[in-house]
Amino acid sequence: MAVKTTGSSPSSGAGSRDGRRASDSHLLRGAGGWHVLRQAGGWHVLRTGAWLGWQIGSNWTDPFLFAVYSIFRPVAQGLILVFMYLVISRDALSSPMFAHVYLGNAFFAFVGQVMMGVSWCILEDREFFRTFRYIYILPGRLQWYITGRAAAGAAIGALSVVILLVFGRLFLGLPLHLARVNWPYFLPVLLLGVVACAAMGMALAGVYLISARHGGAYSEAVAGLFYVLAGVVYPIDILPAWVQPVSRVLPLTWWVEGLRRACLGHGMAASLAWASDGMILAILLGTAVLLVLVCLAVLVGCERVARQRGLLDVATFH
Amino acid sequence: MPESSPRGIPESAEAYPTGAAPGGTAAHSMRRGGGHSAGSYLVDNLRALWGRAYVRVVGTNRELSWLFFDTVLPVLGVVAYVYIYRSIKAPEVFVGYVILGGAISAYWLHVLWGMGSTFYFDKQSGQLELFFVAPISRMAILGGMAFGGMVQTTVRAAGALILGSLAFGVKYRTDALGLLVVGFLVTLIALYGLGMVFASLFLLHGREAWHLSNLLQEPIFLLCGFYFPVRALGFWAAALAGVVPLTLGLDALRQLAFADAGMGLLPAGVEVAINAGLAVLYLVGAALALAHMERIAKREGRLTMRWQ
Repeated sequence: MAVKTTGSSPSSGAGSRDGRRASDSHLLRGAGGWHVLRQAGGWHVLRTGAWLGWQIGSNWTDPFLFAVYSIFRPVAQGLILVFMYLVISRDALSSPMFAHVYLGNAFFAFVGQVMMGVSWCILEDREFFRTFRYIYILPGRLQWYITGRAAAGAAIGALSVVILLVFGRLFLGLPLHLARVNWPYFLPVLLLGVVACAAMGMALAGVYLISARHGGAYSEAVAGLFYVLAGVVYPIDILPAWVQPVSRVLPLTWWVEGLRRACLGHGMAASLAWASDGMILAILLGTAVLLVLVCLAVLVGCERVARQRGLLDVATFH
Repeated sequence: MPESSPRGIPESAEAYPTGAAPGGTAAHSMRRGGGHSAGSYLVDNLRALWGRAYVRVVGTNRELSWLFFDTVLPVLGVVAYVYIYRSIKAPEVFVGYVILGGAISAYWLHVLWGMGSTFYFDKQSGQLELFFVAPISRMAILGGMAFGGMVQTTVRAAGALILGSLAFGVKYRTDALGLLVVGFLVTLIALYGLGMVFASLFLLHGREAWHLSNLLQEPIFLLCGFYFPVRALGFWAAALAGVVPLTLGLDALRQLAFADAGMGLLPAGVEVAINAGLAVLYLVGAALALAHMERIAKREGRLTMRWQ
């Protein structure tokens, strides 16, 4: 059951947005060069979104609980894989394959924190904190706010990844050495993957703008699909033959493969061995750019529908 | 593994007052019938229990997208683990272990988000004070939550189990079906008893309930051996993890359901008996935790404060 609140009629929703634009234009023309200042407003919104995301994700809890939560949770995720290997063979942890599996699982934390976090923030702000209407009328586009929340998610995700990798190096003897990492390759690969995660989060955020509270499972479903299809914890060669082409069009498949090559010196999937490091980066870049464009279009389209239908500040209770 | 969770979406149907449930509220029946004899108090509590369970039971099929996601999501997570075992050429029985563990994980997620965090969500939606002013035992409310949750989650878990088993051709043995059913039910009662304890304790932690629920996902998946036989943790670590009823319950179910299990921590019958003891312990603990929470409600008056 939808509870409509102020300004939620189609006309008023669109009107308020238009009114905001008019107001922005008026102020910014007065200051001169509205495009530049609009970007500056966007930067402020991005920064505030990042700060807010960090506060919600970390500071709104007991520091001890947050520390335990930050350390135990990712380590437990990694240890599940460790025991799955150990139960089959005591020597399994020293196999090169385990290092690939562990690494892929560690970096997947970005998907959880960035993609799922970014999309979830719409439901959180709209349904639980009831602040979305105020956020929406801020100067600066919605994308900036979402990008800010993505930055906070990336910071928390990076914390999880570092904890997992350090744990793997110290306690599991994984062959991870800072000196051996191909940093000039690693950094752009990492960045492109995080951008792809943020883009998918934006598309899902758009879907959440027009769906009820129960839609929170969409991002889990998408993340679950990526976990299975991108070869995060096994080579994609083991997937059924008809699934493998789907894997190859996903940027995350190339992202994980690139990260493995940068950190461990070689990839995992035999079916991706034909691609050089440069080709992996190029394919990742191409698929990520395509994904960003598609996802932004989805967000803008859904935002338009939400405005037209007056859904922006609806608390659905559903 | 993708989190199954935030996510603890508060059940929307439950945001509505219990008066919407069949039979009306206890207060209503008191107005109609008058007295407060032991018999009528029992009837009122049973009505409250059913009223609280009702929204979960009927909600099971009301929103079909929930049914879809709650069935398919656990399978998605499980698929990845199945392929891990296959990639390291593990015996095929491990596929069954993972499928069963993935299906049973739905109960743990429900205990965290559908039991532990529910009073907190109720507080946020203004529902909690209605429970406190209703002339019924709070245990009836928690009991209703637990019963409704069991029904709701069983539908999901069964769907995930059937889907996963069909997809990967898992074979089960049926010669110990009786003990398997008893073990499963005892485990559920003990587990939801623990969930009732959580409901009170999480509420006291305010919005940290969210973090607590998140915190108790993967570490418990690890400690309970959802995706590998718990014996791999070592006997004492596994025994310690036995405070969560799913540890021994799942281990017993695996021993009883798979032909060449042979990796159990204790004999299945012993594990079922221990869980029966835990069930009593947690139900008593839930009553004590509720009383503690109520004392705080009267003394500090902060249980109805939102956003804390």
